[in-house]
Amino acid sequence: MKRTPVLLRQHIGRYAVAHWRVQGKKKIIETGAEQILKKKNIPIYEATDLVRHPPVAFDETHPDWHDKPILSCKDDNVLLEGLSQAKILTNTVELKEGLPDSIALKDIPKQINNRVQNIILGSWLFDAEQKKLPIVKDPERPAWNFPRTYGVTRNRVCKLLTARLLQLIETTCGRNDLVSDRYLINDLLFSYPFERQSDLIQFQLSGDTVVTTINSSVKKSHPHTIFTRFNREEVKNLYEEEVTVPQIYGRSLLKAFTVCASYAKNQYGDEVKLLPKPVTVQAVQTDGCFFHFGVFQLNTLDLENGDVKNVWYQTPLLNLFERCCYDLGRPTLEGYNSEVVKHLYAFYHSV
Amino acid sequence: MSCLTRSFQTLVLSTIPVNISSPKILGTVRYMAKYVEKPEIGRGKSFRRIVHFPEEYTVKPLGVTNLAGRDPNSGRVVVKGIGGGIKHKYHWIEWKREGPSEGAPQIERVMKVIKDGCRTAFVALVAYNDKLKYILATENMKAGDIIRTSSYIPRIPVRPNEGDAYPLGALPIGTQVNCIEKYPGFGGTLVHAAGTYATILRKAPDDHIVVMMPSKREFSLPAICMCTVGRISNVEHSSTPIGSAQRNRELGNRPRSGLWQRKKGIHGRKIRRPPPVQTIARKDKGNTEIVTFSCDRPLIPTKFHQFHY
Repeated sequence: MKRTPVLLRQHIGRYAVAHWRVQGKKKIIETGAEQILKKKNIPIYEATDLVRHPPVAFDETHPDWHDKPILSCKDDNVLLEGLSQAKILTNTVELKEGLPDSIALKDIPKQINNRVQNIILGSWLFDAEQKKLPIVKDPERPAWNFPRTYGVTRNRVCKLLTARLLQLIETTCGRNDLVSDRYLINDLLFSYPFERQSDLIQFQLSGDTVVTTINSSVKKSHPHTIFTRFNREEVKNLYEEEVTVPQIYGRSLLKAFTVCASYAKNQYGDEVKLLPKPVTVQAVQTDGCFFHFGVFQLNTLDLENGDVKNVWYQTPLLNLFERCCYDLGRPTLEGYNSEVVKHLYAFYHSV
Repeated sequence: MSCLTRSFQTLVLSTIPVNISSPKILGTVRYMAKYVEKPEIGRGKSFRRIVHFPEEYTVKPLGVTNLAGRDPNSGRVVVKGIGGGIKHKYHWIEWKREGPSEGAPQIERVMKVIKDGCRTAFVALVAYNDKLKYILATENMKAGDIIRTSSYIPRIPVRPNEGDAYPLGALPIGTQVNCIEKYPGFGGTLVHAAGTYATILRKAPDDHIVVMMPSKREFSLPAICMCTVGRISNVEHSSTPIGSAQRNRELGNRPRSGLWQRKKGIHGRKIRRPPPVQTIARKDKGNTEIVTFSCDRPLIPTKFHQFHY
């Protein structure tokens, strides 16, 4: 039988082999790099010697092995019990519901409300980012696959919203002395390790946008307000159930505590327990739609002794709006709530 | 045609001297079906899915590989009528409810009752000491409930609450229980399905307790076997119709042949007396090693070059 007719058929495997046969032979181009390096007395190693390390076993023989585990709370996790657990961990009490009296809410003009609405639309709908958004599932019809949508990701929305709202507040608050003292820093990482009831605990949390101010007495910059974002795709329970509202509250508290504690440690030394002067930080957490406002006052870093306690004030979750989407191709914003912006102004004004 | 080729081949081969190394002529090829041993069904092996269990217990929902009724080793279909459906993550249930053997019971707290796609009953996330685990939720279990676990058998039966885990011997007669251990320390294996419960009937000699299963069969189990008090959650499951063919597909079942018919009055009624009480004891299986003999040459006298696997 002639083999020709069979071989005439296209066969990707045979083609790949033939291609490999030709392209598998490569001539190494001499660049002269070796000569130049030798002239400058730089040692030369074989690349494979550096790359091919045997895999390091992750057990007792590992150089960084510790017998006692450290319980670490990071940005992608929340406490199981939420706020109540966070209060116990940080030796904190909530004296009353709502924010302290020093934070006064003032009415804002209609003109600013209109600008805020434009900011919301600009961040949620008009931004040019087009990325794959998370998979949508309807719990009533779990088998239904929605078409995959592209648009502005939640992290980008939060980032734009905070930056634009802060910029609006800075330009319209009418206090140049305040604004000249305030600085904005993005993506700061705060870490506070401590020991509690012979457990090693560490909080490693980020302040996504931190407003700092210059303290008149110390003449030194210190954290004033932290803005953190909450993305349901990133912040999850270990058991993959939905994050509850108390857990969101607890996350705000932990973030504020970590910022206060790491600043206090930096300010008063590693061994400080009872602070000579309390450290206060305001915390704002948002997922782009809801806002959570809290104020944390750090009095002590002795977290096991109950004589002196830290103080936490907070508001419930406030929605900036009810609905913001394209309706029949028309951008719509419904149920705008000006309370959120009032709180933001009040936070910015507090000294 | 193949007969003709074969006869030509023998003709040609017979004329060539044997010791000359000339290229062989390939005759007809016999495609032999390879014998594959299929596993038995109903022997505790699932052909619906494989769960990828890590080494350590975790409450993180586990990934699964759906098998569609196939044996994972041979790849052959063993069970018909399974395939497709919504893929669910698996909640690894801690079957062993171990408590202190003396003193006060261990206190646990139900954090959440979760609907699990891989089983009919609901699953409860439980926190104890500094750990989390899943157990099968009982009928009235809800978030925030405190449940107790103890391995101690007191002289007077305890007054248990729903969701508590005690040895069979510690519970009063008539108690509804679920998730019962078949052998002590083995983990709860009996009564897992939604809405089911077993009833403690009486004590039996030799430290055994007679328990009536949901099937009305009676088992005599050792008194130290742990069990959970109450009825398994999702009681409405048995009375909830699947609803539609599509819903059945979502559950991972393929269409049935349609030939099966339920027995009716014309088939008559067989009245049997209930089977006697079965005493459960761990059997010593002895030597279970299986020796496989191999055969070097094919059993059928077929020419070697004609084999083509």
